[in-house]
Amino acid sequence: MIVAALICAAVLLRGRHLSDRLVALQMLSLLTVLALLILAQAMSRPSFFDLALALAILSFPGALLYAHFVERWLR
Amino acid sequence: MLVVLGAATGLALMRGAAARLHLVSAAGLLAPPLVAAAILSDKGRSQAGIKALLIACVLVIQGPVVAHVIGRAIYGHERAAQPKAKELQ
Repeated sequence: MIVAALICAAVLLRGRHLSDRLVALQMLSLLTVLALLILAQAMSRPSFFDLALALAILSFPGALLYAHFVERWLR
Repeated sequence: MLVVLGAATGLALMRGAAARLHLVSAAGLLAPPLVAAAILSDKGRSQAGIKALLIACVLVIQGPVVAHVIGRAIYGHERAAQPKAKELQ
């Protein structure tokens, strides 16, 4: 998963268009949530489940706002 | 892991934002239930298992919605860029 996250980070940093970077950001937030879930399971820390839930819920409006910005303001 | 790794590789290799979105949204729909199933099989019907299931539900519901909105943004962005290309011709 770290390899996948590094690939996403590389696309995020080197992507040619803003849309490519937006897709990479969405993928990276998904990977972070999954990584937190796996860490919570592996290290037996129930608080990481709450972190993953908060991140999953908060990444949704963030991605929507960013996509709305790209659609409306960057014509 | 394989789903996520395949999606990340496709994200890096594909040309065009729409192709990349296609792969990422597929991975976003496949990976969370798999991880939640793994945690549920280990923890069972405990608080951790229910939380993992809830997170998977949130991700599965929000994945297609975000993919649709990003796809609409990509379409609008590319459509706005086309008149400039026509002017150059």
